[in-house]
Amino acid sequence: MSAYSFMVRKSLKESELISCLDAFLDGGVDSILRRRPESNYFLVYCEFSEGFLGSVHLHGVSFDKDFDELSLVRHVACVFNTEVIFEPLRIMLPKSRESAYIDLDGLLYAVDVLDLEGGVDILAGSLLPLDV
Amino acid sequence: MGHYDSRGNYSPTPGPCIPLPPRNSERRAPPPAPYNGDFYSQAKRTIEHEAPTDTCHVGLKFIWDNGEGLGCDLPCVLTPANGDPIRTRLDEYSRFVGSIPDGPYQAQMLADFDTEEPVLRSRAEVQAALEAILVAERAEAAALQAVQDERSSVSNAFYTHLAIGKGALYGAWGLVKSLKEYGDLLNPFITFANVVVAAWNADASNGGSWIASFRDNFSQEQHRELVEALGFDPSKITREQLAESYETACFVMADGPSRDLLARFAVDYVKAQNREEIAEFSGAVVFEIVLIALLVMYTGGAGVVAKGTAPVRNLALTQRLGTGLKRLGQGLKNARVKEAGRAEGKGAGAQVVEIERPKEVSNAALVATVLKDWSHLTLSDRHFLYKVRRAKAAGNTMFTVPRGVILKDLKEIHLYGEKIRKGEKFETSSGRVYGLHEKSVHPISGPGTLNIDSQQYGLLVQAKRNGRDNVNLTLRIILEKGEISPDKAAEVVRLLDLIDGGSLR
Repeated sequence: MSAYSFMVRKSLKESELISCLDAFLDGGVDSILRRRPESNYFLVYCEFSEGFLGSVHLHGVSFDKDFDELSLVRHVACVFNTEVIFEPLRIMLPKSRESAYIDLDGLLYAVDVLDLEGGVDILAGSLLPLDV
Repeated sequence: MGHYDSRGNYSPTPGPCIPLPPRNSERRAPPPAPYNGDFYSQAKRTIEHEAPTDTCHVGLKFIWDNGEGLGCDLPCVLTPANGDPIRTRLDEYSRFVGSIPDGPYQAQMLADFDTEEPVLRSRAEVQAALEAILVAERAEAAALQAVQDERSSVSNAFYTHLAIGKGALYGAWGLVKSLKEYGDLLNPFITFANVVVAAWNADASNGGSWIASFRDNFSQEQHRELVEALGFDPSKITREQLAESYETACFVMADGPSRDLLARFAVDYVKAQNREEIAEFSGAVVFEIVLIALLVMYTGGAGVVAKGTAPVRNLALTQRLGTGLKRLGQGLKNARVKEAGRAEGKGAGAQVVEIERPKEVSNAALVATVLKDWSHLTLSDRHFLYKVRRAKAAGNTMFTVPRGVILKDLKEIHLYGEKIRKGEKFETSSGRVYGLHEKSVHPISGPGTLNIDSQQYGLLVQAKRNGRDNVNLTLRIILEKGEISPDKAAEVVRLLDLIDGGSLR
């Protein structure tokens, strides 16, 4: 695995996202907007027009079992007070669900995701609480 | 063994024990006159049990064309040419056996009953119920739209992509609420269809009935699975009632005016819901309507709410429809018995009168009501290079050929889906294999497809959202940092070139 991605409900400023990730990841993040070549992670941020508006993509040499994905997405959700969806690397989801979701209270759910014309959103009524 | 009551209504359960009229109509010899004291002038004595020379012994048996008897206690009138009509009832073997005045005779089942008027009345009853449902649908158009809006887009797709006669009514009436639940119907329904059609066509000349045959071959467990999948409480519906629903559908389907009635309803229902499609009208449509209406009538809608689905729509009207359809089915059955249950004979002898039953609503038609049709499927467009959205960790199979080529595969799936389906996959003639997820199909392998990982997919998303220059710069940086292999980067560049070439659309 040489990439990790998640999506946030809010549209973010890339500079603020960089600061947020710098505070969490050892060595911070590299990006086109703010180069930091020695970092182990390279950030790509994209925006969508519907549903979850921000897409965060991290490139790296590896995202092994030491990579604490849940703490990362919770950190981002908390800093920006936003919902997050992500496809977990190590959290087991119920067979019928394909993504994980963190709500504004920081609670974790398994969800189904809908493809919209201009982005993606969670499928209403598909939330299953996860106890992790 | 079912029975017909005194009004000619058929019931599959045994009826009350009603004494039959004496079958031996032979007149016994009158008691001899008392001795008159004159030994040589006594009246001639009659030998006891001597049959009058002007009667004959006849036997008549009335059966359906599967060998099943019409039923015990069914009224029959025998009219000898040389005597008064004999009003009797069939015995437990669906027979009349006895002596009648010798000579020609006619036998007529249900001779004293008007079987046409009940059919007309119950048909009008069904029509009124159907019209009331349509009125309610139209009146609630705004509310219905609100309901549709509340549903998720998947559920909306579920509603709008099914055709009447292909399960749409199960959803529209609130019996199933998602493709998942719709899919859950598949296996129980196929089992039911196989058993019910086999039982309908089975030979029942050994004294059994088709409903008994169905019950013997459709287990309690299979019954529970089917009824639960339809959202009802299995304890509220018997296997016999399920079989009756099928029988009613067969009789209604065989009756032109009743069939036309339901066909018009199906068309109007589609219009009332602003739907665009209707399946070809068939026994499947009739069965779909009859099954729903009778199940709702039997249960009062109980069970559906408990399952978590929306309550049955138009509950009272649907119950009314169920009552009307049940009466109509019974009326049509009686009419058929009267029309074909007649015989003529002359003198002693036995004959079997066979009455043709309606043709079965076929197995294929029944199964068409649950899922064997795949024309509702759409293409998941996140696999087109210019429609990328969200990377999946498990991998992403992308189309590298124009959309028009892929749409031919989709058309093939719509037309021949069941033939080219292997489990959860469709193998099209192009060699491309598609997987199934909810209402859509997605590519798995084959010519014109390429599997890329989530990192590569993310770069395609970046190109779409941030532009080609932005992704070129990213590629250069992550190549330098060793965060992507040169092969994978080259693959991304090739895909981006394909997009920029414009030929994929």
